[in-house]
Amino acid sequence: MVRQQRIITSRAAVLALALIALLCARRPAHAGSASVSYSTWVLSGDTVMLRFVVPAAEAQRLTGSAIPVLTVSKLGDYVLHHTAVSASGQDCPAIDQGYDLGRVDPVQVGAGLYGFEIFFRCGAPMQSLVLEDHALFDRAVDHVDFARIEVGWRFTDQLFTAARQSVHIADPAAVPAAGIWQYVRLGMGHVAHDAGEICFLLAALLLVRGRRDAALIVFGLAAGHALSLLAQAWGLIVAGEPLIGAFAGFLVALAAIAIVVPELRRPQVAITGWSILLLMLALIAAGLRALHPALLLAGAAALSAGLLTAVRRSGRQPWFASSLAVVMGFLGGFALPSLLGPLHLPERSEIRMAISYDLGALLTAAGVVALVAGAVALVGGAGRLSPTRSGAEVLAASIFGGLGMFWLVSGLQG
Amino acid sequence: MSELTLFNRPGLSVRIRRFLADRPRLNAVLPASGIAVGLLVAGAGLLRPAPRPIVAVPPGYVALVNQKGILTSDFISQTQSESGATFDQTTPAERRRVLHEMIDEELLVQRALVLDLPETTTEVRDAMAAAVNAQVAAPLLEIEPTDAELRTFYDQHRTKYMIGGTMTVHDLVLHYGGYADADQSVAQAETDAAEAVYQLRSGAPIDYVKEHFGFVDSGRVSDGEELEFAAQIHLGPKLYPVAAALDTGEVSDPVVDKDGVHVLVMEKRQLPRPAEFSAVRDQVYSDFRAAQKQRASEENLATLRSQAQILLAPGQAE
Repeated sequence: MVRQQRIITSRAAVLALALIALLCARRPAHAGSASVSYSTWVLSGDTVMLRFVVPAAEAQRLTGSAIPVLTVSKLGDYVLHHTAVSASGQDCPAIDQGYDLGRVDPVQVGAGLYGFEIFFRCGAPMQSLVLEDHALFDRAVDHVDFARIEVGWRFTDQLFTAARQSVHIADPAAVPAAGIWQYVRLGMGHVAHDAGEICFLLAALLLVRGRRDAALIVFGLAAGHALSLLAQAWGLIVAGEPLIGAFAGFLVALAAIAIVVPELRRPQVAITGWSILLLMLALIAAGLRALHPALLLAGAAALSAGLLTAVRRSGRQPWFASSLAVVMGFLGGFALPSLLGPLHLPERSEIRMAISYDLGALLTAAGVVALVAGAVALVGGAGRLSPTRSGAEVLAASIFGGLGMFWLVSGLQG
Repeated sequence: MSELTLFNRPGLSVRIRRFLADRPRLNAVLPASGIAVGLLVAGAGLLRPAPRPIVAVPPGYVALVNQKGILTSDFISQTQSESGATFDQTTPAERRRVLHEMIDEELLVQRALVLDLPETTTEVRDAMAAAVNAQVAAPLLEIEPTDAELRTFYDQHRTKYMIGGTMTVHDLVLHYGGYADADQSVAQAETDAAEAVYQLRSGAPIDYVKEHFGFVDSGRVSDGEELEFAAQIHLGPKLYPVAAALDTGEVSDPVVDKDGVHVLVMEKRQLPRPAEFSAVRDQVYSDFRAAQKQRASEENLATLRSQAQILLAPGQAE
């Protein structure tokens, strides 16, 4: 009976390891890797003014040049040829803006961003408007353009995605906003493409004792997302987007260490060593005058010491995975707001979008947890996910630890 | 006895463990404290307050346009400048109009910055460069120069302040390469001109030389006496220095210019004399100020260049 259970457990572990190996090739979506752009469409009289903003990293990926002059020139042409407006079934051509500007005017929109303005003039009445944005979807399937459509003092938010590259406006007096479902889908897609979050979920699943405990991870994530919404409503924002990826990497590593610690002969040495390592990194960051990374690492050191000591004393308790999930959910809650900065949306709009986005992220996370827990239950045929720590589990934890550490360091550099 | 106690004393970690074992409540509180402190410190590193828009006009400002302030002092100056009266004497309607204009101007300036006009528009670049030059010169221009400083400047640039010079000069030219002189090469024209100079210096009349060698009057100078500055303008930068070096009766060496080979014959020359300082003080003052501006601008540019990274394309030079 024991032999049969070991075989089943090792099969599950091999399955898990295969999943991990697949994920190893991906970067966490938090770490500034999201492909996004921003567009503002101002409807006025017979003209539609488009301001298209592309982050510098995205622009460099697209044009293959780090030289601003070349990037601006190439990118301007690219945006012109990938955006269009029509009214009442007739094209609205982009007009020449005089001087030697041509039809695309590069504009200053802030550090790290490239901006372009195009004026589309419609000969036909401004009814049945169609705004088209095909830019960057040919380069990145998961690219998202966060759009803002302005008519006079009113504005609405919209989304352009690979599946939805045009927006129909029957009457400019009543521009439709992007539906909640679109942000839910965006959140779902984000988690599905985020290797950091998937690895965290798998590592957290290795920590819990049974399927009921696995549900606590989802509850933890939900609580974290709710807390992040509260923090946003309180007026807090992330100090730097790469820091989210760094801290998510730390959480993956911490979960991995928590898996391994109870198996060690001298666990306190590992706990102390890990905490001191983080503290030393914090001191190095402080020496380099990187205040936010230094605080992040110092906090990570204290958190590690506290959590790992608790897990050592109490064994593998579900609350540990759940409390890590709260922190992970809190970080995940800032994923969308950290991308929306250049759009200058009111707080209320951002929170509405974030709630839908978080819901999507949570649904996907719950799906992943249910899928893995279900698969293990099917293979193992038992009500417990991992009654004992096998060698494969420890190996999986080591891989998670390595990945987490890599994401932590690369995130702090970024 | 004391040494024995020292050697038998347990290690720090053992002592900490015993200390905590004796205090179970503290034992539980410590990890929780670590977690709480860790979360707080990491949160401080991860989060920061979002910049809040200013919703009230701060003291010292009369308006905020897209979060950019218009200073009350600027508003008062502009109102006084436009109305020609003190601010207290202006009417509310005048003040409203001025404020409206200033807000419009601020909006246009902000739009200009978005359009990156300083990088793309020549007029804006010229205005900005002039403004920077004026700013760096301002501290120097605030101090009035003394007469002694002006006199020193006058002495150093005495040649600029000359008056009374005249000249009666013949500018003969031997054209070459034109339709009528197709056979005449530059080398041949120079040889002929050298021979003509020899003959003129030997006492040959101008009319004879003109007829013999084919020289004509260039038409740059009048037949009679010309004031020094007029001759300078008429002869141009190439021939005037040659003429200025000649005295009455002297003949210049051949000078090759765009239209042919010139020979200058100075019929009568009255050299300019230095003007009295009191007579040209205003001009000296103006030149002194211009020199101060020029020096400030050059020093500023030297500093900027020392701090700049300038790369030139292959084959380019400045």
